[in-house]
Formats: sequence, structure tokens, C-alpha cells
Amino acid sequence: MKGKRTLYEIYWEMLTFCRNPRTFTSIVHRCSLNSDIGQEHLDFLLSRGFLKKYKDDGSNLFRTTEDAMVFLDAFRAMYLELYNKGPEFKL
Amino acid sequence: MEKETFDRFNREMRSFYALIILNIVGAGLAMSFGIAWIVPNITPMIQEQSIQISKLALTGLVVVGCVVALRWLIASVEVFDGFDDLRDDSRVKEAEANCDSLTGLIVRSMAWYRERKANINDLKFGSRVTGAFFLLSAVLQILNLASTLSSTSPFNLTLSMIGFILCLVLGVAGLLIPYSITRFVGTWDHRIEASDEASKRLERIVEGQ
Repeated sequence: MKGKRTLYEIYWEMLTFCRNPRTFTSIVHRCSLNSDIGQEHLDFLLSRGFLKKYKDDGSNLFRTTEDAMVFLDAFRAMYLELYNKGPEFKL
Repeated sequence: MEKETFDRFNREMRSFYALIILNIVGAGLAMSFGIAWIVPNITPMIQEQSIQISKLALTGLVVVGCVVALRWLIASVEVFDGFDDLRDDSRVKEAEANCDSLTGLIVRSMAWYRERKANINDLKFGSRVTGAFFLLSAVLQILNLASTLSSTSPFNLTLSMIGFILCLVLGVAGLLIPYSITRFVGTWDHRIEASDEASKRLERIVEGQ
């Protein structure tokens, strides 16, 4: 994804993408992050318990945990509200 | 609820798409009209190797108008870049019609708006200057037409009237487009402010407060 995103938008993208187990490379690629920034965000989400890291067939995989659901649900509700409430642009 | 939000999202996409196309067409017309004016007015001066100060000054003004129109065109294309991908993606995601794909589209469109806000504001400037330029040109043309009305053939009169109407339409469009862009920017700024508030609430959730 191109453009300027907030920190929480990046977290949402990473957590949504990791609903299925993902490798570090696929996460940084999908979320358009460089590896340093990607590692920083992953470490933070791991420290909060929103992501779980495990090994499978020699690969390190990351998966979103149940603890992240509170964040994901709140994020979705707030962003849908941005469109449902407030003015609408029409020509 | 998702269907309603998708519909709203797509309505806005269509409206803004039409606005960008208007900008691209307006800028393209302004440039081509300017060039079409410069060439026949500058060629006789080169051939006769004589400079008419008033004509040269007017040509200079049209060249400046063309440069502004070119900037307007480039800004329009830059805004179009990314937005078109977003629009294509919204069609695909509409078929999926689930909360995550819709939220993803909203996140993408907000990222796009934050990145392109300066370009969107450039559109207002380009459009206003070009609109004012064409209105001025329309006024000059009607004054010129009024002063030579008795000696002008019906054919030339028709051509002059077409030129006047084109300038008037482009001028009015150029002045109306910024109004629509201002409303678009207002709608989005409201969302960006709301997303800043949302970020504060999300921070509390992430920090476990």
C-alpha cells in the first residue's frame, strides 16, 4: 500500500494480513515497509501479545492472536464510522 | 451497513473521478487553446521581422497561461495516479463485500489523500488562474468584436463568437472547479481529523489502558 499511513493503520494492515500465518518477508512486502521499520512494528505487536511467532518447517511464522481482536474490532468500527458519519462529497 | 458504506464510498469515488477528468480536460483544452492562439499571432511577427509591443505582451500573457495550464495538467495527472488504482480496487472489493476489504479500502483512500493533499490544492490554483485568464480573454475578445463589428464578415463574426463562447465556458468552469475541490478537501479533512481522534482511542487500546 502506497501513501501516508498512521501507525495504527500499519498495525491494522499487519494484523489483518497475519490472520493466516505469514513470514517476515511477506509481511514487510505486503505492508510496503522496509525491514528495519517492519521489524520494529513486529516486535511491538509481539510484545503486546497481538502477534504470536512460531516455527513451522524451519520457517519463522507470525500469526494474529485472539488478544488482537479488541484492536481490530475497534479499528474497523471507527474507520467505518468515518464514512458513515460526517459530510459526503458529491459533485 | 457494509453495503451502505460501500455505496457511499463508490458514489464519492465516481464524483471525484468526474472532477479529476474535468480538470484534465480543462487543463488540456486551456493548453491547446493557448498554443492555437500563440502560433498564428507570433508567426507573422517572425516572418515580417517586426515586433508589435501590444501583440508581444498579449502573447507573453498567453504563454504564462499555457505554463499555468501545464502545471494544472501535471497536478491533475498526479492526483489521478493512485486514485485510479483505488477505484479499480474498490470494484474488485465490492464483489467480496466484507468488513475487512471495506476497511482496507478506507485505509488506502486515507493514505492516498494524506499523500496527495498538496497536489489537490494545486488543482485549485491552476484552475483559478486559468479560469481568470480565459474570462479576461473572453472580455478582450468581446471588446475587440464590438469595436470591429461593422467591418467584420459574417464568417469571421461566427468564428469570433465561437472563440468568445469557448473562453467564457472555460473561464466559468475554471472558477467553479475550485469550489468543488474545496468541498472535497473539506469532507476529507473532516475524516482525517476524526481519524486522529480514532488514533488516540486506538493508542489507549494498544497500550492496554
